[in-house]
Amino acid sequence: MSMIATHPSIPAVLQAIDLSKWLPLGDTRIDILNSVSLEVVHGEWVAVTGPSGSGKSTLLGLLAGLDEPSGGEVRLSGQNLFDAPEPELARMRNRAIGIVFQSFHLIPTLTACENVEVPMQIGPDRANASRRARELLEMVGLGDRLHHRPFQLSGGQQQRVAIARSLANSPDLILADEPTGNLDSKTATAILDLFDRLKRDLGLTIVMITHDPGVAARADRTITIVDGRVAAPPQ
Amino acid sequence: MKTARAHMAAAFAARYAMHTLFREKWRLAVVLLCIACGVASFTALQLLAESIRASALPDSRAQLGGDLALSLPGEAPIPPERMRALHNMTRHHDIILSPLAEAQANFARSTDSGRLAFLNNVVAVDPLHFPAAGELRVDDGIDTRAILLRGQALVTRDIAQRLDISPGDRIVIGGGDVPAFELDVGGIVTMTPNRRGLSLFYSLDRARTAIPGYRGPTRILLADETSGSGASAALRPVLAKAGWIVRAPALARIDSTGRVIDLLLRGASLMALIVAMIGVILSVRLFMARRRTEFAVLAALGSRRSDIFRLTAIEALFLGGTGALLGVAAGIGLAGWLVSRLSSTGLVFLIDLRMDAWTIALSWALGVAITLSACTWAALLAADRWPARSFRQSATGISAIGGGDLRCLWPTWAGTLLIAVGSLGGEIITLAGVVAGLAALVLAVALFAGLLAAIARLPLAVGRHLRTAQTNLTRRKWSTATALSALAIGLFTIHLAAAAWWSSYDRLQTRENSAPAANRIHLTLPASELAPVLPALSRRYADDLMGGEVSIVRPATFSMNGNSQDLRIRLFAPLTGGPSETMMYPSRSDDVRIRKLGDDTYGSLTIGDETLPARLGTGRPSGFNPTFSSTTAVGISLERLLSLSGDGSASVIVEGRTAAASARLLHDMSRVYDRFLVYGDSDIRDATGSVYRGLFALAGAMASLSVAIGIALLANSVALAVYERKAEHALLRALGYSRAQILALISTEFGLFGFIGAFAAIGGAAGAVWLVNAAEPLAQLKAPFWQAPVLIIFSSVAAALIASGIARLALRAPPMAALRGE
Repeated sequence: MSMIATHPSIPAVLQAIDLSKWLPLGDTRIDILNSVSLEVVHGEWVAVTGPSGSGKSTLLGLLAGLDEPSGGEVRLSGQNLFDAPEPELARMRNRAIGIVFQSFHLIPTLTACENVEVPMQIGPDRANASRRARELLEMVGLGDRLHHRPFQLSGGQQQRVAIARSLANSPDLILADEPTGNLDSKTATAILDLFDRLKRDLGLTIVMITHDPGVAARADRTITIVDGRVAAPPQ
Repeated sequence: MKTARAHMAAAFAARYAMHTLFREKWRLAVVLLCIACGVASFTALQLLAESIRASALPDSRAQLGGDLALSLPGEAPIPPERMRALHNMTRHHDIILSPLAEAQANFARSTDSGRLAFLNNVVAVDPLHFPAAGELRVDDGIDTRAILLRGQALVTRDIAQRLDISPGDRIVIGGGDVPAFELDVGGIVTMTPNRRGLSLFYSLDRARTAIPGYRGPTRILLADETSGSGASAALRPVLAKAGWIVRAPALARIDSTGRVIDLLLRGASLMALIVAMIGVILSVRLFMARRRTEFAVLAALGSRRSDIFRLTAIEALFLGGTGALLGVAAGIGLAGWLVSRLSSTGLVFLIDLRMDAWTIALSWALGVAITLSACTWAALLAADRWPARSFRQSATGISAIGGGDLRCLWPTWAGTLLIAVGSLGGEIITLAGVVAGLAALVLAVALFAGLLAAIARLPLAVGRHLRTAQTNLTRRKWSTATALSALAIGLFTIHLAAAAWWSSYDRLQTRENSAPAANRIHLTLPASELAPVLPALSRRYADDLMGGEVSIVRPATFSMNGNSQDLRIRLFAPLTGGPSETMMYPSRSDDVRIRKLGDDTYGSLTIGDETLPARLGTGRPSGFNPTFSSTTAVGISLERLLSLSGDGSASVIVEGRTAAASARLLHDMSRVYDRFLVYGDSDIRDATGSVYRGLFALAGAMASLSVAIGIALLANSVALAVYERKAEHALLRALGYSRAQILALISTEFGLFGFIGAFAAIGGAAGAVWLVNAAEPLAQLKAPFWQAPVLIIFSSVAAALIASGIARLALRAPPMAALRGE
């Protein structure tokens, strides 16, 4: 079991304890993650890096409660995600976590504003959903693209809509899966600047998957995954 | 941390759903069109079936005009003393007593236009007690009883059209067992009690004065005055004991023709139900196919599965509600058009479009329910508890797309089969029907499992594409089996419809070919006028006549060894020559003991006051008119026949030496004997031909509708199967395949697909034909074997062409877009 503990005095927002994931393949199985443990504290920006196929995206899926582990726990503010029934798990994804995907995953039939509204429509403040969606889009620099549909936006603009959507219900934790993977370097830099500003202004905790060392360098701390395990940090 | 939380706001859910639907208008239009087509086919066939069933198989009480029909053995007119006894028997019961005098196989001629029409029923009735059950509706609100009391006739709309007559005109009725007589038309009937289209009604009083030798009603109808009181049924054993022949509507219900029609209509409705369901499900599935990722995103954003269900339910309700509404409207229009087309083909019964509210509501509700269940089932599959699985499958889209998304069809198919088999077995779903449905489902699964195993073993080692196709088909078990079964059902529909169509066509051809080649001329006249007319006829047309015969109908008693049997006989005599002894040929309906006696059995035949020695014959005498085959035929000399002629009508059939001579004779005799009914064989052929053409048109209408639906289903299932492989084809392009190479691959695969599907369809259709024939021997459907090669070629070519056509469209998209599922 590998464990990275940081800042013992600050409470951990997110904890992975002995987390494993394997998939069956005929009579055998493929180990994707093998007893991974980590902690992320409030206000920290952690980059998870590793070579392709190392299990980074699987780890993010498990941390977000999007996937079922084969073993271990994920604790969000102390509560094990996988002990929660489906409605409660959905509630935590809605309120406590914001997710940003590499391929944006915007709803193609909705406008930018409506896409940002989606999480709020099942959140605590539906009445102000439309107003807040506009504010968030203005915050990410898309005040003039409120009523554009995804296919009318560039890749960078779509990713900014996705980031605005992840902030909709003011979560404590943002989980981003290769958020700059589909973007050119200039746009990628702008997105990373945005994350930096959000962390600074809103005190967000960010866990970002990336295979780019340049992107990882923007984070406070880097965790490297190799062959489904957390690699020892450089001495 | 556990706090109460609401579902997605209803207004937002509705807005989301509407955006999903309306921001992709073409897709919405296509899905609505598909749902509408499925519902329209079901509605049209259901309404058509209901209309025909209501017309051909009416309420059993109305079928006979009452609860019980009474007659006396030998069909003799009912003697007054028996009538009185019956009146006494029923006096203190809650019963209506309605006497009738019926005649069949008659012709009517307009005295103005000279046009001739065949009549199914010529019925003299007691206007005060007719109809005892059912309805006799007359145009313009004319009072039925007043017309009948005045001695006028009511004719149905069909007769009025054929004779080109209107109220106030005069017609001549004659032929068969009724002497020729004239009637004034008092009104046009729009609805008869038994819904027979070619009927004429007049009063018994009129029959007494108009028909020479009229001796009284031939049949009595009894009806409960208070419907369903059971009073007449309670009398049934007493009546039977008193010597009456009692026929109950329940027996009429099992009339063989009715059973065949009923079976065919149920089959057609069943087919429509299955086809419509599959059509709707496939369309909805196509609509939902690419939303797996969207549902996963919603789940990742915190939506519960119930939120996703709610969204899809709103979309499904809109799609189903609107599509089904359009479908119902189109179905009603289609049914109306088919009914009008059928009505103009001269069917023996009237068809009115029956706007059955229950059928319409059921069609709409089925459309909505199927769309709703297909959408929510698709959502259930897509909205995985763990969204990462959906993302993973979308990311590796090829395996997902080739996988088992079509599985959502199977539960719905199981439900469809249950409903179908249940409804075929009875009016409501029975336990036996449910069990049979489950058995059918198990058999279907076994059949397709067997087919897949067979495909895997096919020796297709020749050709790269064929080998690849075989591998693709066998490794995608679920989607292959599902799409293959959809294809097979489509082909089955086409094949069975074609078989039914060809069977009808074959029967029509047989009927046409078996019509008498000779152009004979029929003359119906009072028997009392035979003596002066026959010599004049022979003199006037000596050069043109080749021969002929005369016949009259008489009640008679056949006696032998002290036993006797009352019969109704037709006496035949040739115009020249004639038999030296009386030859008697019992009909199929006569006492079986007489028919068993065989040749060279002598007895005596008593006709009126005369008793003749008669020898039995077992074969049909040559030259006998087949129209009268239900009556015992007696060959007799012309002199003897003239001496027995008495009252009633006589029939003379003569034949010209040449076709031209026959035409000349017909024209001349119509003018000379204008008081009598004169018609040629061509008139009979026209009358019977129109009946058969009507039935043929009926089969044709259903067959063409089924073929159209089958082809749509074939196209739909192939389209879905190709669509599911879009990402795979994009990958092949990314790997260097050209569009032409991919099209060749797809065409080969779907050609093989169609080839195998056709075999399943032929097996299914042959089984269905066998089942129909086993259930009802009179159906005489032919196993569709000779069309099989055509179907196999059609199926293979059509599947290949449709698949390559759709793939050609799909391949226009850039490979990366296709890989992303755009």
